[in-house]
Amino acid sequence: MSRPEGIQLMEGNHACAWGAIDAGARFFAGYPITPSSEIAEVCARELPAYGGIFIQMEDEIGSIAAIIGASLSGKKSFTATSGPGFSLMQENLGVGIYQEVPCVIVDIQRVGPATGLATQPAQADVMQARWGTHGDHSIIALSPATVQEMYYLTIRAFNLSERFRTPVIILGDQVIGQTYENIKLPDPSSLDIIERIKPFVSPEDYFPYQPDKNGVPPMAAYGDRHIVHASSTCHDETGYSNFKTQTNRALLTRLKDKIYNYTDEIVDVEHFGPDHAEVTLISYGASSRVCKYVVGEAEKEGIRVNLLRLISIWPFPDRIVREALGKTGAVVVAEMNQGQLIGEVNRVNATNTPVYLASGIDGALIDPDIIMAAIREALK
Amino acid sequence: MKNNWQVVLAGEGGQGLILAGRILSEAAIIDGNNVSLTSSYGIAARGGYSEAQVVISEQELYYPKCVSPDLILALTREAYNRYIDFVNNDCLVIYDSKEIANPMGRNELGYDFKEALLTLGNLKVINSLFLGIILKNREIVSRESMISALKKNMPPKILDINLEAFNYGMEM
Amino acid sequence: MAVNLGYKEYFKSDALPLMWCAGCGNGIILRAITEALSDLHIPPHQVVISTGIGCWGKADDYMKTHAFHGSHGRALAFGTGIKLGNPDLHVIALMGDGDALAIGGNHFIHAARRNIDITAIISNNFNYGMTGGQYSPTTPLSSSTTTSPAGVAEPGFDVCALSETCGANYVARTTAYHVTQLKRFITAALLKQGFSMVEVINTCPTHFGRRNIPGDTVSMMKYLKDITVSKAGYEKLDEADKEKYLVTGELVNRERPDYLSVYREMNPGGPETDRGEGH
Repeated sequence: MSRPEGIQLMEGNHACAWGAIDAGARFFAGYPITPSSEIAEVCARELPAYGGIFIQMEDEIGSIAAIIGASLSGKKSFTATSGPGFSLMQENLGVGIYQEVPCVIVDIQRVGPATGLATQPAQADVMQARWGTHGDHSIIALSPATVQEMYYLTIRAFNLSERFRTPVIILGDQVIGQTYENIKLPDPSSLDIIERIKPFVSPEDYFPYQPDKNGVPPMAAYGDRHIVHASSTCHDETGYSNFKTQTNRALLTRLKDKIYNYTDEIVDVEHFGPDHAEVTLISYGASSRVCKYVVGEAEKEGIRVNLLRLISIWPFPDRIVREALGKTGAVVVAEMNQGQLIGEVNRVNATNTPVYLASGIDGALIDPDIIMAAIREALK
Repeated sequence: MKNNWQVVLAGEGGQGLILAGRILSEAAIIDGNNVSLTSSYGIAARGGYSEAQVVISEQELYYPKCVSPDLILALTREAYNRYIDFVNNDCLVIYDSKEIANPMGRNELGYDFKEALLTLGNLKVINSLFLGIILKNREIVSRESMISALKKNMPPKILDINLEAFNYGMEM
Repeated sequence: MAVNLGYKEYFKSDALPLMWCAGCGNGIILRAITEALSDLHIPPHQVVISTGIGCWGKADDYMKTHAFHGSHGRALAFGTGIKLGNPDLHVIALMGDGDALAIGGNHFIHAARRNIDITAIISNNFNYGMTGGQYSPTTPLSSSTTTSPAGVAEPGFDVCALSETCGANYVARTTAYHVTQLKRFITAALLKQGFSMVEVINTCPTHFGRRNIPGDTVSMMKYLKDITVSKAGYEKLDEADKEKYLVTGELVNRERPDYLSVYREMNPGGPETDRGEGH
C-alpha cells in the first residue's frame, strides 16, 4: 500500500494514521485495543517506508512511555488506544506534560467503565482527558466529527503539541474511528506543519527548561550536543531536581500559562444553523453531527435551533460558550455520557440560561429523538 | 434519478456484508456522491449478527446511520426480525427465502441465495450475488461504478467468479 | 578534547555530596559506570541515562550526560522509545530491585525478550530503601523488613536467571564490593549489542542491613563478599551449599540479533531511516 490518492472511501482510524504520517510522525508505540487497532495496523504497514518505526509494546503504560522517549530523541511520536488503555496511560501522560514532551494520544472512546462495550461508542472519557492524571496540569484535547476532520485534526494535534511542547489528546469515538466516508488527502506539500523550536544558543549556554518569551523552552534532542535533562521530579530550568517551593510554584505556573494564555490560539469551534435561535445545541465529536441533522429536523417542525460545535474541547472555550449562552433561550448539551461537558457549560453560565442534557448512553450513536426530546423539554 | 439512499445489509459474520458495504459505497463515490458506511459487529472474531449501513447523499452527510431505510437486505431471520416492524412501506426488503419461510408479505422479495450459489459453484461469492440483486431492483449506483468498485476490492484470483455472481444476481 | 577529564566528564561533581546514606554502594556503581564510559570514549552527548524511581533512581541528578527520570518501573519502556528514536544513542537504564522487577517487571521481561539494545544496571539492595525498607521481589525468603516483621513469606527472584530466560544477550552479577569486576562487566555490557543486564548486589545499611545483617557498614561490605561465589567456585560446591550463595560473573554472553536489526531487516526504510537528530 502507498498513500491513497484522489477521493477515497476511508475509515476514521485510517484517516488518523495518515494525518499523523503527513504531520511528520515517525514513531508509533501501541497496544491492540478495540476500536482503535486499525491506527496501529496502518502504522505497522506504512511507517517503515517513511523511515519510521512501529512497535507493539507490552501494555499501554509502556506505549505512552515509549512515545515520550522517542519524542525526546527527536521523533514526532504518537499512540492510539481506547478507554481501558487510556486509563493506563494516565500515569505517564503526567510525565509528558511535566517534562513538556510533544506527542499525540488518540483515544477512540468506547462504552465504559471497565471493559464496558468494546465495539460500541461513548464520549465518556472527556473529563478523564482533562483531569485523569494526578496533580495540577493543563491539557489540549480535540474532538473530530467526520473522517475528513479526523485527518486534519490529527495534523493539528501534532502542530499544537510541537508549538506548545505538550501532549495533545484526540478524543475520537467508535463512530468516527470506524465509520467509512469519502475523503481526499491533500498534497502533503500544501500542509502547514509546525516543528519544535530548536535551541538558538550554544550547548554551553543551553538550559533545557529555560522558556522562550511565550513560556515554551526551545527543545534539543537526545544525541544533540545540547544536553537534555528531562525529569519527572520538580526541576528548575537546568532540568535537574530542585525541591524549593518557589521552583515548584514557578514551574506549575509556567506550565499552565504557556497554554491558558494562548487559549484563543487553540480554541476551534463551528457555528451551525441560524444566528439566533430558541434553543442552542452544544456538542462535539460524533454527537455534534447528529445535532446538525436535528437542526434541520427541528426546522421542519418550525423550531429555530442552532449548534455550537466544539472542535477543540480543552482548554474549554469559556468566552465563546458564555456568549452563546447569553444570546439564546435555552441550551441543550448533547453528549454520549451521563453529563460531563455540561458541567463546564454550567460553570461559565453567567446569564442563568436554562441548560438541558441530551444524554446518549445506549452504546450507539446518540439517537436524534433524544436530542429532540431535550429541545422540547427546553421549550416547555 | 434518486440520489439519496439508505441501505442496510444485515446478516451474520462471514457473509461479506461489510465488504459489500464498502463496494457499494465506493461505487457511490465514483458516481460523485457523499457516503457514510457504518457497521455493527460483536466482539467475536467470527460469526454473530453483523450489519453494514450505507447512507448515500448528494449533500453533506450529517447523520451517518439509516433513519428510514430505502432498502434492507436480510440474510438471516434475526436480521429480518430486527427491521421488519420498523420499515415504512416504501422500503424494499430483500430476504433469503430459505432463512425466512413465512415473510410478512410487505414490500419484499425473497431469493433463494443458496441455490444461486450452488449454480455458480461457489458459496463464497454471496456478497457479489446480492449486490447484483440489489442493483437489479434499485438503481442505487450505476452498473459501471459497481463493476469498477468490485474490480478494486476483489483479489484478481477471485474477480472473475465475483463478476459472474454479480451479473447472475442482476438477472435473477 | 584537550584535557581528558576521565569519569568527571560524565559525573556532575558540583552536585556532591551524594544524597545516598553513608555505606550505600550506589556511589560505587555510579563511579564504575562513569569510568566505563570514559574508558570507552563514548561522548556524553551520545549517552542517555534513564532512571526509575527509588534511591538508585536519583542517579541521573549526578550525571552530565543526557538523562531521563520518569515514572516508577518504566525506565526500560521510556528507554525503548529513546533508543528507537535515535539508535545511535547508548541508553543505560538504572533501576532498583523493586523498580525493575515489581512495578516494572512487565517492561523488564519484554525488553529482554525483544533484545533491545539497552544496558540495564540493577542496584539490588533487597528492599525498598527510599520508602522505608519494605520487602521487594528480591528480598530473600524469611528476611525481616518493615512490611514483613515476621519474615518475608515469598521467595525472591533470581534476576539473572530471569534475564537469561527472557532472552538477554549479556547477563552478569557482581556486587558493590567487587569494584574491578563491576567496571569490567559494565564495560562489556555497554559494548554488547542487544539487551544487557548487570545485577549489582548492593548494601542498604539503613534498612535491610540494619534488620538482617549484624554489625556496622564494614560488616555489610563483608556480607556482600560472604554471600557471593564465583562461577568456578560455585560448581565445586555441594548441592546443599549452593543455595546459600549467589553466583557472580558473566552468566550469559551471546550474540542474538537485537530488536532493531531484526525489525529493519523485515521493514527496510528509506534513506532517512534511523538517523538521529545529532548528525
